[in-house]
Amino acid sequence: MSANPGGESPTPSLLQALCHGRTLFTLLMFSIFAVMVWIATGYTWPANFLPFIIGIPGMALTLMQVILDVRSYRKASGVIDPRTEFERYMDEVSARTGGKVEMQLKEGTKLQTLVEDPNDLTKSRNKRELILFGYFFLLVFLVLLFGFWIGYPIFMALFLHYYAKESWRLTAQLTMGSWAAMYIVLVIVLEQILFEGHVTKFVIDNWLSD
Amino acid sequence: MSFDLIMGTLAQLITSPTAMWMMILGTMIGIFFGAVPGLGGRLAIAVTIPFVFGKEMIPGAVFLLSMHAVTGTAGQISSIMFGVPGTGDDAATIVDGYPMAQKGEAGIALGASLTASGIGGILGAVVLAVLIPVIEPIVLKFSPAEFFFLALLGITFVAFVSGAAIFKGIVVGFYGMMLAFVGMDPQTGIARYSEDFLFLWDGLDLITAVLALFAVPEMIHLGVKGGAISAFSKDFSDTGVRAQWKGVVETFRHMWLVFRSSMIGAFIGILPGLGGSAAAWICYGHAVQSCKPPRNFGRGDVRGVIAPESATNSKEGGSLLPTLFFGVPGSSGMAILLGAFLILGIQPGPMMLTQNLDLVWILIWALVISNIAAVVILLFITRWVAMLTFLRGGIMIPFVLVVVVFGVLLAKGQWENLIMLCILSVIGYGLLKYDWPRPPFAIGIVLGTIAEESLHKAWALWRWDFFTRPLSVVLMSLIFATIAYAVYRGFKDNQKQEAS
Repeated sequence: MSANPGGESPTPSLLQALCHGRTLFTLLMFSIFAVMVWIATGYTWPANFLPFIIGIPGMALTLMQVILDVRSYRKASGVIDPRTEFERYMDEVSARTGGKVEMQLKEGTKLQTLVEDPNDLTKSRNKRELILFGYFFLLVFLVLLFGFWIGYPIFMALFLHYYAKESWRLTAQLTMGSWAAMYIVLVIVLEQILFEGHVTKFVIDNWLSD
Repeated sequence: MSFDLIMGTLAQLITSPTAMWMMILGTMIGIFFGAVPGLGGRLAIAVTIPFVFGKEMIPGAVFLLSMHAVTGTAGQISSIMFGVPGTGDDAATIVDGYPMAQKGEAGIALGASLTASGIGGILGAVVLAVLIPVIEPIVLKFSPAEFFFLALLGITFVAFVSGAAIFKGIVVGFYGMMLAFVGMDPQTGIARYSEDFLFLWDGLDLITAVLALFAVPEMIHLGVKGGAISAFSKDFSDTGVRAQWKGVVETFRHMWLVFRSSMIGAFIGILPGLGGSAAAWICYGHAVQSCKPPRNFGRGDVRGVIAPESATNSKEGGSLLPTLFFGVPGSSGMAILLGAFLILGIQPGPMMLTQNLDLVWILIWALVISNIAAVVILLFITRWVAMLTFLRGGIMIPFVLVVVVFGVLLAKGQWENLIMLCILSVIGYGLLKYDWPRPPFAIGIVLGTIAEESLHKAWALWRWDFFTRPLSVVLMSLIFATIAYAVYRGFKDNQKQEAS
């Protein structure tokens, strides 16, 4: 694979390479180690021994990884290996067996090794990541405020209807059905008591209790 | 090791209604997680750990192991019928399984793969059983000093074999270890990295960390990829029991191949970090090279289904060996399983041989019985299980996320862990997105505490001499040799790339 086909795309600058998501994430890992090692300087022996033994090499390795990330990004000019893991393995098997394996499928069949939903591909990957994390944080937020048994159905209904694009009818069936099943099993049968949520607790303690 | 112990543990398992119920439940849940593309055994353990938290040791361990052992058996259904692997472990089955399905031989392929998986799983358990007396003298020689180095070796080894980026692997392992140091230091009583946060004084909750690193990122990833495969026909007419029976017969016709692949798979399982994908593909390559005529492979040759499936399940038995006796998990799934075992009170290491050998045998029997149960169940319900493949990610994701949140609350009942879940999930997704291998994290966080305890014990016993003990020197040499070879390989790959 040519890293820079036809020499059309210029090599990215150092700043561009440093601001790339991959490098930024490595820098985040470095900062985690750095902060933990710095905090460990305040501990006495032997509490600080292993944090130093592990943390300092961790910092060194992440710095080396930053250099590798920058180098590979600049070399590849942002181009990555387009092969799926399946294709890479197939290439390896074919190479090791002298090209004896060639998969034969019915004419017109496309091997769907990646599970893809064509409707979802219209949104950009990053946008979908943000939306999904948004829903996840919403779930946690709702549970923290209102408790599991109130937060869960609200999240479920919102996700199923607005993200999964299910009809209100199916959304209601799935939400209520799963809620009832979980409540019966966990609360009535297993007698589990879960966090009731800060707002719910406040309301119960201040307004509903005698 | 006596015959009485071996048969006694079998009797103990099958006469315990709780253990048997947990094993069947684990098998059914494992089939579900295996059959739905994008879920898999690792996620199954991660999301079910909270439910066994606080339960009895044997039923809990049997439940988790049975579930993990059979996910590969069910995962092949979507590979064969639709060319969509349940997880990476099932991808090799596509090469011949899917062309077989297209020729109207899906039933034969399914029957062959189910039987090969079942036999592979049983042979993997046999390998584990046979190797116990072999490794016993080695394990008993290990002292705290060696267990400290074993933890480091485990991370290095897993990092080395889990991808091209060894630095990333080691860093992730170290990151896991650093998180294991959160909490009250047992030597000094200092609250490390926890300050006034009381919920962190007992250490970072392992269940929260595992769910954040493995379950949430998988769900976000599934959502980003999408999850609909509804474009396929739902005609399962050629998957009846009669057609599958032909596949069962085919497997027994190629028993020697099943045996060889299972042995390869089991020994790959013993090597920490190689994992199911490698086992399946190596055995597929072995089948192509050793079976005549090789030109049939890729065109729907049943041997191309039998070989990877035998290996995928047999590796579970093999990977239990380093997990249980050395505390070094053989795969990422085993790393999470090891964490779960620790939560259940099972301490890996020499004590497994001296005090808990009956538990080891119960686990071996659980592997055998759950594999047989999964094959028998799936032979009759394959077509219905195949329908699970059509479950869309959009519907699965919220349910799994809810179970994750529920699991975090259930484990320790502390709402603060939800905040930790959010923070660690972001890091976990970053690791997944930017190709940082996550298995070393599980090993790091699980072994971090054990490594620190071992280090302090070794230090108290030998001071600096613990570095010069013969086994310590061997293990240190292995760690340095692994890193040196990885650096050399990286350098050579770089040179090759530049040359091309």
